[in-house]
Amino acid sequence: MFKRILIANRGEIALRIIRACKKLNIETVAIYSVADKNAEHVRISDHAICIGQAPVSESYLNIPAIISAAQITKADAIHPGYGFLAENAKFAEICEKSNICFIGPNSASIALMGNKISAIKALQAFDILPVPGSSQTNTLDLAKSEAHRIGYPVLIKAAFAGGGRGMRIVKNATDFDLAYHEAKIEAKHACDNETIYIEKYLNEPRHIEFQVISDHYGHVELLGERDCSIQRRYQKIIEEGPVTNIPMAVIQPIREKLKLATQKLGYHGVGTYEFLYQDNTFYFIEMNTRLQVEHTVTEEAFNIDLCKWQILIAAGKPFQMTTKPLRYAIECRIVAENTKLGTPSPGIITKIRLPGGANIRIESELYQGIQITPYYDPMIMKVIASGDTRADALINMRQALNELLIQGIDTNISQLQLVLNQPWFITQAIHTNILTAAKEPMHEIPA
Amino acid sequence: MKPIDFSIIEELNNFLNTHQLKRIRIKNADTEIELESHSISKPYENSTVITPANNTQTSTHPCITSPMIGTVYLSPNPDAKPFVDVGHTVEAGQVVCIIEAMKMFTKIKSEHAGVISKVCIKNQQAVDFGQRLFEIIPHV
Repeated sequence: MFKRILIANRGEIALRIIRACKKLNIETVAIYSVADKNAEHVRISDHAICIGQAPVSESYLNIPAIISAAQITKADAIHPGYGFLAENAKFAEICEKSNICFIGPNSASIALMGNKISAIKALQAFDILPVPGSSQTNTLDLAKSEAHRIGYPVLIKAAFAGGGRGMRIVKNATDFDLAYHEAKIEAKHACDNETIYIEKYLNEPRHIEFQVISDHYGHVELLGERDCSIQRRYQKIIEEGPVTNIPMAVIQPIREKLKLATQKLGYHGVGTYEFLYQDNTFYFIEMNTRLQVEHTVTEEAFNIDLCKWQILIAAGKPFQMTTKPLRYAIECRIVAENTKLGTPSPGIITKIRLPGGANIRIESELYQGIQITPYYDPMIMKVIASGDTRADALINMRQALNELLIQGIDTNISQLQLVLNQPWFITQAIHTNILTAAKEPMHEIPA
Repeated sequence: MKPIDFSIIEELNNFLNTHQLKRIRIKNADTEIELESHSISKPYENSTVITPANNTQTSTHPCITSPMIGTVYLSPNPDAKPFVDVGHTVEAGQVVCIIEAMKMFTKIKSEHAGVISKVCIKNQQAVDFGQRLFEIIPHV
């Protein structure tokens, strides 16, 4: 078992990982940038080491500084969290070569599944089909003829970038050239790789993802599905699970194929297969080779500690599943932004009041007086509500958001409250474009 | 150089508060004093993407100020030319720079038509709320 784990991340996920380490009686090393010197993960951790200036390139993406920090503090493993270096195959490889265990799949798995084009190819071998199109298109002419073949509207996507960067919807051939060049430039700057591909644009898909966990002894489990269709700017803001309103005849074959693929591809640890779902058909879009932001939904629904198991599996322990009655969970992401203007809202939290009671879980680093800096992601809190049924979980979530008070900065709390009360949300008639496509503004409905 | 008369600072501060100004600057042969108020409304309360040019009686030129804390980019991408430079004519609503905060990129637009007379920041510099980005000579 590991003696000391360095956590190569910040914010709520760094706290989350420290808590899992403490359950396993493992010492923790927090890293932090100059801007994060007053952060909670620094205060709570057994050890903490400053690795650089505020910009991510000088701190949380600074591989030499992080590896040195691990060596100086004699950490025997690194947990990357999500974002930053979590899906960086080169970083995983450097850890492997430095005799530090990278808590996640091996670098070869990350390289294979981190590139969306090679991930799609790998899963096609197991009869898991992507969105029509989805092959690499190196030149403008090739891309254009591919777009013509699958038919407009099409989506241009970057092979490596996430979070909607390098992504463009193209409605007709006239707009194609400009969108193609814009997408390439954006992808290049987002992840230093301009590889892009074209896929058919689905107008009203749901985002459904499959949580997988796999140990080194061939034991693979699929822990239900999550619906993450409520998104803004291609980023999830509400996630829920397990998904219960898709016919078993459609979902079960996908589960079996994914289980087989995970085994045969030698994937180890936790991971997520992401799909679009429309007209009773699943289309594979990409895999996340890490713990996800919304892993908490599965944890609450299945009463399992995925982060703890991720560490145990990395340490070579066999995975053991204890089946418990399934519950329902919903997660809301609280972000520091002005939802009307679409602008970020850094600043000082002048007052904060957290919701509580049974079936409410809060993952956050916030405290009164903390400065939300402009350097990092706007997500400042996750609220997870659970219940025996979706209706129960929804009631609990509404109450939690009513109780939650954050002052000093703008947040999306009232937007979330509106969504939770819309008829289309209550009846789960949702899709990934619903927040932008809604022609009429959302109106207040008394709960 | 004459010693600074500190009573003028208090006087200027009163003027700033009375007129609810963000910033004031006076200059003569010996002295240059710049005062900035932090007591006015917090960032974003009435924020718009279009920045108000700082048009006080005392400043020599109106300027385009930053509506947020963040990192400023003077060109659309590292290989491209700057959006604007000294001597360039800008239209009202024209993009003059981009500010990155929390992984989001906000285009900063000029509120006035005019000629850029000074670029007050460097590319990729960290900027504060209300910090001066460009000075502009407006078209009359």
